[in-house]
Amino acid sequence: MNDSQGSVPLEVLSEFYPTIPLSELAEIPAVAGWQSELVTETLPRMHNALAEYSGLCAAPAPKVLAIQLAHPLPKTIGFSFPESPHWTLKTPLLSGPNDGKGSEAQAPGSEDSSAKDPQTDSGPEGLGNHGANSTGKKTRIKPPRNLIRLEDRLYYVLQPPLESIVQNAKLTFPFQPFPYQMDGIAFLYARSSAILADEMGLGKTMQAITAIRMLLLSGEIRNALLVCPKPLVTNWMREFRQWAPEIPIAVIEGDSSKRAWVWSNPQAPVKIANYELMLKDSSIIDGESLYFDLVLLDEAQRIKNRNSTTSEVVRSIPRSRSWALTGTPIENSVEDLVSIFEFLSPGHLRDDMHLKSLGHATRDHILRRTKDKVLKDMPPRLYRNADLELTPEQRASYKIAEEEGVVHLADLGESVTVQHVFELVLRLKQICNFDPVSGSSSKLERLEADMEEIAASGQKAIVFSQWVSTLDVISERLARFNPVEYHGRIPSNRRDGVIERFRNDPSCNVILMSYGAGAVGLNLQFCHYVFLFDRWWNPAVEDQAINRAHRLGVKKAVTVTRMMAVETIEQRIDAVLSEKRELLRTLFAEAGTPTNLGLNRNEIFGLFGLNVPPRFKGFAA
Amino acid sequence: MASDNVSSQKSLGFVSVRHRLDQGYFGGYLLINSVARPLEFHCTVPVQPTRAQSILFGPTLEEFLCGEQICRALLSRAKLQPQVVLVDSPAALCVRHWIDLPILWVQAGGASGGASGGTSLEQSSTGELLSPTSLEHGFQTPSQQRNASEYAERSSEHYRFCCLESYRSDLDAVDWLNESYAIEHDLREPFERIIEALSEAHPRTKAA
Repeated sequence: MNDSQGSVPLEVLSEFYPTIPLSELAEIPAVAGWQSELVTETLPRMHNALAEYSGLCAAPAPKVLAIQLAHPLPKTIGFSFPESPHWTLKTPLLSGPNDGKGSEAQAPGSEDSSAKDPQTDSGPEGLGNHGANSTGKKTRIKPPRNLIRLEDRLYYVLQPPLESIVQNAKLTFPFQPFPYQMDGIAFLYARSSAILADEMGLGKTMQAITAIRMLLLSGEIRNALLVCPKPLVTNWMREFRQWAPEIPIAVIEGDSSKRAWVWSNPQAPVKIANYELMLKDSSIIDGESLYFDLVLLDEAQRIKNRNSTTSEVVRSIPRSRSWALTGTPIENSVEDLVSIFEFLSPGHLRDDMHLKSLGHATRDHILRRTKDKVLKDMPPRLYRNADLELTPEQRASYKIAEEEGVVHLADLGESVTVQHVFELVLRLKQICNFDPVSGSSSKLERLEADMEEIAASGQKAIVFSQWVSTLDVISERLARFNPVEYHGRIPSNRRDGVIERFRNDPSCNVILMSYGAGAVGLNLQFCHYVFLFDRWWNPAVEDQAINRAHRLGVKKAVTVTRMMAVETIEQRIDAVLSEKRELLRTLFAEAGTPTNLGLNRNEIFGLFGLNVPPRFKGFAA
Repeated sequence: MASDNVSSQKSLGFVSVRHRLDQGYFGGYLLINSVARPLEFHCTVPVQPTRAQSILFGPTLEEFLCGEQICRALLSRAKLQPQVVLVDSPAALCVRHWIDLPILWVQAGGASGGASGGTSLEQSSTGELLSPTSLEHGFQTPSQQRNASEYAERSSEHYRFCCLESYRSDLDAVDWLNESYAIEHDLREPFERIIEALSEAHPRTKAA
């Protein structure tokens, strides 16, 4: 540094002479050179050798300043992460004993292939080179918002993309998951409390199974309990065999001693129980010896009544992670959602929370996608409203029943109840299906005509009704199409056979289902026609029914025929439900959560122009 | 369930230094095992060069900050010693003078052609949060910035590797990389994780 002051900016000088104010530095005479100020002890020292040399010369050489710039290394923070001992999969997990029914593993693809994506249906496959799927997307695991510690958050942030994990672990899938499904897996993977609320048919089952599979392989969980409706147990077993064939499964069933053994069996990392059995085995569940790293509830709307015994037993299961699957987190009111959260994260939601607060509190816990948003290439649902005139016989019966019914309700005066109105509604709806005297039915005539065409083209159809007795009548009239029935009167051990026959028997063109039994968990995407012979009270349940056919793997558009008798109670119900459906759509867009979907008390009374009796006012609908 | 203990002996290190005009330089060091799972992560506080450093180091300022300061601090704090350390900018290579580990600058685009030397990080989901140094602060490839003879270079099918010429033997690690890791993994992907982690560790860097 032998330059004059004039060429060195003041701010640089100030860094070398931090103790001298900038104003004083500026006042140092340029002609004297800033070296003349070096006598100050606070200034950097000179090298001695240079100083001595300068003193020996007759003509003093310019003084040389050696500035020692200290460069301490920057501060760091660091974290170490546990190395998973169980990450790569070398051999299938076939050795675990099981109940002899639930864990027979098969090679992927050897099972039901009905759910395969037609565009990628080429047998088991991984996710391509360098862990990216065909879209090149890398799915990253993002930490949930409620994870506070930086170390915990970084643990997830620093994980490789899911596609890479899948590839490293040599995991194969019967078909390549869609990108949104990988997002769903990543969502579940990182969360201790989560609701996967995808619209029916988007593959919630596959996403949950794969997330469980990856957590087991990574050693982050060691055991998991799946609770589902009893009719869906075999469906889950089939899906596990397809998506995670190496994982032994134990189904909790049989007599009490056998169930007790299965509950305590440590060899099967995944156990499947049904809601009905949870009540019987509540004493085992409450025991201290039972603990699950993960409890997954399928069709979690089953615990929407938090005071029910089922809900209480499910909530009592000792566990670390709680997941729920449901296509309808809110069937009737936001209280349904609050109840599910009592299982996921007790106290997180309250009934009196404002809708906006609810949306804010749940947004990191709920993942919901709809087909129109994520499956733009999926064949559409084509709605066809079959507005039918009643036959003369039906009209006559209907008119009499309605007039008598309304008069009866009016006579009841203050003592009228919802039940009274409901009974009248049901009676009128049944007449809309068939005339009770002659059996004539405009709906059935239309259905027969449509079935002729469907059968002629080798297609299959699903017919839904809320009454088994109605299905019986339909079955007789459609006998030439070899119908099979799937409803509450069909024993659960025969139901799989019914589905298999419908799937495999070319002569069997129609399956008759009740909303209750057939609305959830079944994969009937080979079926391209759905008839709603009568209408359910809640559009969410109708949607579930329709989505038995309109789901992943469907190859053609699904035509949904909504049968409705004009100028009847059915039209009035439909008008109310349409309004609610629109409201739901609006609320999901704005707040992420829907509100009441079913009919409330005001609306039920309103069907006949009645006012709610004063004694009901002030009560929740 | 196969009990396959993935050996930490085969760990691989990745260092990325990112720059933000308003906050300075951020460094992150990720150690992963042979199946790409994280073993260690270290990051620095933001480092802002002083005016004196800017003048004194001149065109070598980024080498000083990225290599001598940030990378040296990061590598010296790690508990595990990886087989090789990959960096995503040439400015970090000079850490090799202080650390006795193979240090390689990895770029996409090898013998098979493909992408240029530009970083794939520009397409990172957090690219808008921590802009790549090469974009914001003019990091250049060795051939453009300095005399090419100062670097030794080797290409594989998908990548191009460079190291300081005086440590040419570091390129031997390329064989190990190709055999044990790169065949199944994207060598650029861990840098994206580092960027994500830096945004978590320094929330102020997140876009407003």
